[in-house]
Amino acid sequence: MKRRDFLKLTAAAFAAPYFFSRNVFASTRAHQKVLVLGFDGMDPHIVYQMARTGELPNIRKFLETGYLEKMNTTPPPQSPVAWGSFITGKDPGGYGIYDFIHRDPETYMPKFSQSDSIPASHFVKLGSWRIPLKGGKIILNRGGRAFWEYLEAADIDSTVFKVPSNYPPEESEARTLAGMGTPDLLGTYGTYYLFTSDEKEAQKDLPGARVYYAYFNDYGEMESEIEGPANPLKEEEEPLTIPFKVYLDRGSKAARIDIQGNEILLKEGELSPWVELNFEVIPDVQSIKAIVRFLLLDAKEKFRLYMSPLCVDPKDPALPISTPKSYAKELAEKLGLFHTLGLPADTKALSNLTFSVGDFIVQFMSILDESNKIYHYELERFLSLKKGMLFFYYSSLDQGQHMFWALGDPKHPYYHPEESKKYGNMVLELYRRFDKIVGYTMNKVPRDIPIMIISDHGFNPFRRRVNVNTWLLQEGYLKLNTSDYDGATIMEVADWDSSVAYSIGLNGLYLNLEGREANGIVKPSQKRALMEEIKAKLLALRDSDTGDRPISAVFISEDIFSRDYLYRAPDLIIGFNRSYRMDNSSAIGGLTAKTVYDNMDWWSGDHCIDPANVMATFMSNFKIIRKPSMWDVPATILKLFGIETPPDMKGKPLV
Amino acid sequence: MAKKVKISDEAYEKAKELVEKKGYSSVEELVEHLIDKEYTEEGEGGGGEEERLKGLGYIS
Repeated sequence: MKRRDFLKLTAAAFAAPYFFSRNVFASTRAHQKVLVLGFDGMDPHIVYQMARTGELPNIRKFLETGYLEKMNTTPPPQSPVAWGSFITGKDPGGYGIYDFIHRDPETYMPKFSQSDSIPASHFVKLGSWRIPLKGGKIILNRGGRAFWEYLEAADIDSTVFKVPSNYPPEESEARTLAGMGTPDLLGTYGTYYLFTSDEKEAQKDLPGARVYYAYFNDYGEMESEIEGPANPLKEEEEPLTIPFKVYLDRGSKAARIDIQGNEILLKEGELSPWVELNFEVIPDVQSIKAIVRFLLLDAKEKFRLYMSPLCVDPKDPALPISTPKSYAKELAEKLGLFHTLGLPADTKALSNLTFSVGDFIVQFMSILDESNKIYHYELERFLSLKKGMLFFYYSSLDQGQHMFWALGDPKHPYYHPEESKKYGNMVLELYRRFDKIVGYTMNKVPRDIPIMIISDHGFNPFRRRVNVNTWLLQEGYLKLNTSDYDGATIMEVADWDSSVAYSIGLNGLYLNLEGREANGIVKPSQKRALMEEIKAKLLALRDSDTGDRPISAVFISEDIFSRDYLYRAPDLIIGFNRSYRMDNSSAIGGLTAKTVYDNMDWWSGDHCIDPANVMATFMSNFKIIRKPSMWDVPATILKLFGIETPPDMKGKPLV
Repeated sequence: MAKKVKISDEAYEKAKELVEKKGYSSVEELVEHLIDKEYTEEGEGGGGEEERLKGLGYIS
């Protein structure tokens, strides 16, 4: 498939008929095993077109005796929201995750939706040490009962690998490993390190990064240290550090890194194996274990060394990442160390231009290879069971489409013709890689075991950013105490005593509601009319540069979601049109001079839009009786094992 | 120009005790130190959450 064909297929309306085989078996009996593959971000339209033209031969073969359908996903079609629906069989109101980013109504501050950290509350001081008496904890904010709990009750061996919205993993007898939402050891969702001899680069304040100047002496030696997590036992919470030394050989474009007894030799462009780091909290008594990988970016005129975020060491996890606790260790001991960070590919390093596209691909492919290795192990184990369920999740298709989209999209404002000559088919290549995973599965799994291959949403170009806070300001719904707002946040400059609405998150819009927000002024009796008014105006918005409508749907949360966790929901969920998405800064309360403007970033494909524009993928090797929705999948898994749908599940079995 | 702040007698007595124990030169220095500390923590708290979220990639 050529790039222009790729563009055509991604721009086309979803009118094509999808695959329905007549040879498919109808699943009417209780099964002993069920396999579910979660391919985050797999777009049904791309799958359909590529399978039809023979570019995905294994998927085509799978569909000769199976089904491909577009699947309804959640509003908004964000991974933690949609996979939450898969976990519980409910709509977002049933488990309380509405966005990657929620807000605290007391402070209007953005906060991570999926979990909360509760710090230790009582300490005793011993000299300079501060010893916690009552430990802190991490709380999973996703409510609802996970479907694998019903499998446990029926004595069915279950493995759930890296499903999003499950950090920390819910207590369970099932083997579960946390995925999206798992932080690094700095408590962030991925902060990388860059050591650079480029003075200008060393002065940059890059988001999601720590940048250090690398000074080399005349012998080509550099000494530095890695600043890790804060010492939890010290009052000042000074960072724990690990010194390291680099010997640079510019002639052969290589470097040696000496760190804690490890000697790592790297050529320019080479990624190191996993390196174990030991941050000593109390020497010889207590330590925090981390794993990292180095990538030598430049080793000639400039020295530039990338170090990955400090991942939790699965052999000795400092944070709760699996149930049972031994599961993470089991995988590491059998297969070697692996990524534990929720979103493992370092998209920020490419967005920040720390990575070239080639550097990113080196890291990206290593993650896909690692996932395949673990999948092969888990599939063998699954096949050896008498009765069992395996859910295995892949993040690569999602993260790859986010970063590679512009390479195949000449209409994208961030299209780079030179890079595109070399990497323009990366998105299509990724689908081919996933076709191989399907082929591997078909070769291994007996025909009578039900298989579902699902995604949580499709994909589309992200060419234009929409700053909803700036729009609210222009429309008079948001008032500021300054006229100089470009680059400021609503937390800094909003006049809450006269503002009626604000936006936080990638799709959320909140009213400044009396009795809920700290300085709420909208009376409950005014709420409905105000929501309807803002909804109508959002739908009428025009992009002044293109004439297009940036927003194709607006949902009023109380009209569409169940009530259990409705109190956490944005009042309105904004569904962007194809090519548009929430502005990055608006998602955390930022204001920009322009309301709608070009997205100049390698993060060039996205899905946080109107769910009708990015429907999910559903494929199965058995007959389904109606059009699928994300929340139907857990009820289907249970039904395949002969378990009745729990009454509080919204979803219904597809068999 | 310095501003006056009213606090209760009880709080003032506690402040004087802290001045003695912690080695501050005056109640004013103690109050200014505590305000600075709170102000810094507030600022760090806000920026910290934003920095944490930027790791997601969606908003970097």
